[in-house]
Parts: sequence; C-alpha cells; structure tokens
Amino acid sequence: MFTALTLFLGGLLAGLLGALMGLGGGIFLVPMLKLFFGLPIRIAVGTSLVGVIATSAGVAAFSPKAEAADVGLALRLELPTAGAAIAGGILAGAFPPRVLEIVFAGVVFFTAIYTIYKGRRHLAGSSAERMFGQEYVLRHWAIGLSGAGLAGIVSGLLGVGGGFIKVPVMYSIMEAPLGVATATSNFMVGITAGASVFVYYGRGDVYPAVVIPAVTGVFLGAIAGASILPRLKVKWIRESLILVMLWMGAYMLFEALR
Amino acid sequence: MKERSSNSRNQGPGPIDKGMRLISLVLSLSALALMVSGFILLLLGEGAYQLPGARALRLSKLISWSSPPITLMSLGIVLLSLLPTARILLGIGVYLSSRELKNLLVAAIVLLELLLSLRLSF
Repeated sequence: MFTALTLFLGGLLAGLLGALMGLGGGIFLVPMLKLFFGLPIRIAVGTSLVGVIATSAGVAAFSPKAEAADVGLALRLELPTAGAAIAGGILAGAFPPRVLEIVFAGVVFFTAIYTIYKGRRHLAGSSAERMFGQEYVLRHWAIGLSGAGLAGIVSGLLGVGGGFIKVPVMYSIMEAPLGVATATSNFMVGITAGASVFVYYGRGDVYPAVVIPAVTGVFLGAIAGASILPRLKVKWIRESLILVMLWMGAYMLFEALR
Repeated sequence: MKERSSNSRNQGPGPIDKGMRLISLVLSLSALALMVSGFILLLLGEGAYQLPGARALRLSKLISWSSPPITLMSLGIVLLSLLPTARILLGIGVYLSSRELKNLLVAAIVLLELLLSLRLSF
C-alpha cells in the first residue's frame, strides 16, 4: 500500500514538474521508476508511455492553452513521427537494457540543455502576439519532418513525449509561434505515445500495478501544473529542475555503466 | 515547401477544438474510473500488493473476464491508450464534413499507423 502511494506521489510530482517545465512527465517518470523502484527499463518505458497519453489528455481536457494547437500541422508532422515511434518501440525490444539506460541518460542531459534554451527563448518571445500569432508561414518542412521522425524514434525507444525535440523544430526551424508550437507539441505527444504504447503492451511490458498509481498521479499532476503555472514565477523552479535533471542523468549513466 | 497555416486564433475555439476537449475529458475520466476500480479490487482481494505484479491482459484475452481486477485495469489502460486514435477519428469526421481533403488524407494515414500499432499488440 505504501509502495502504491509512493508511486502515486511520484507520478503526481512527475506530472506537475512536466507541466511546469513544458515537458511530458516521462523524462522524470522513467528515471524515478528505474532508480527508486528498481523496475526494468522496459517496464518503466511502457508505464511512461501511458503516462504521456494521460498528460496529453489532461492538458487537452483542462487547459485553455490546448486550443492554440495547430491540428493540421500536428497531423502532418505525425506522419513520420507515428511510424518512427512504432519502430522505436520494436527496437527497444532488441536493444539490451543497459544501452537504453545509457541513451536515456543522454536524453536527460539534452533535455536539461533544451530547458535552458526554452527559458531564454520564452523571455525573448513572450508577447502574446509572438507567442501565438494570428497568421504564420511554416517553412523548412523537410527538416521539420525529419526532426519529427527523430522525436518519434526517441519517444518509442525511451517512453518520453519528445516535446523537447518537437518544440524547437516547430518554433526555431519551421517558424511557428512559440505558444502554438508548445500547444501543438502537447497535442502530438499523445498521438506519438499512442503509436508505440501497444507495441509495449503486446510485448508484455505494461503492468497495471505499476501503471495505475503512477499514471493517476501523472494525470492529476499535469492538470494541477497547467492550472497553477500562470500564477508561478517558474524561473527558479526551472533552474532547480535543471540541476535535478543533470543529477538524474549522471546517476542513470553511473548505474548503467556499473 | 511553404504553407500558410489555416489556424486562426481570433474566432475562438472551432468544432475540432471543442470536440477534442470533450473526447479527452470523457475517455480519460472513463479510463481512470476503470483503472482505479480494478486497482481497488486488487488491493482488497488478492493479498499483498507487490511490484511489478501481473502483466496487463493480452487484448485477445480481455473478454474472458478471468480476473475482474486485472481485467478492469487492463481495459482502463487500453481505453486510455485508444484516446489518441479517437482524437484522430474525430479529426477525420470534422475534415470530412468541412471537405478539407488534404487534412483528411493526412489524418487517415496517421490513423492507419495507429491501427497498425494496435494490430502488432495482438
């Protein structure tokens, strides 16, 4: 019972932090399940994919910013992303767990760098017009589609939403407004996770006793995070969490190489 | 390829936005209800809770109702995992009614990818 409660609270924290930082909960949930609960990485990834769907659903259902999503853009980018996510899910069954853990540690470091980048970009483009824009022209589709495919592979392999790739691709390369890119990414991560979750389900990597307390927590945490975000000065939270992510990445790398 | 987005923010939420919100709300809460019900039955009925416990039931075995807690939990997980597919189906419906053929084709291909993934899990 205590374990279930701890899983729930961990999921709640992962969902909350993910919402506050504009990430899915997966980047926190997978290391938490692996490092603190000692679960094999494929079970952690399978759980996290369900959590990403729950996060996306929570934001879509309860956050007004969800309406900023450009559904047409999302669907076009999902053409390579969904297929790549399925491939990533299948590949995860072929790689040794240690390889996945090392790759995940690298992704955590990269996400920390992305979070620093996003914090600076947000300050630069924070007017309502720059965040959402009335009309915008999307460019560099070839690079955008390639980046989306990469996000799909990473999502299927590691159980993260891939937003830390999708948002910079849409914003910096395809020139969508930042608010639109973020909302569109929130919409996309659910579809991307939905593409690979059944691969894990069919392989037997989804365990309800793990998923349900963790994902319930993630869902509620994401809703809470989306609700309180406008009232918080997130700068100090972001900086603290960057340090946490760097520590997590180092710890996962250490455990994988031991 | 350059494309001007058709997204327009000054008209408030369109039918697709309202539909996405409703479908996300209904399906996610229904899935959570199933999952939590099954989990409570698990805690009440089957001895000590341990990790990782039993695997989720294969899709082909969900109708056999061999163990109510695990069946309910598995059904809830599957329902939540089908939410993205439901959102794409909604998009297809909206694009069909508004005759946005390009978006319709794109959505149909994404739907096929999701259905392929579902097929792989059987």
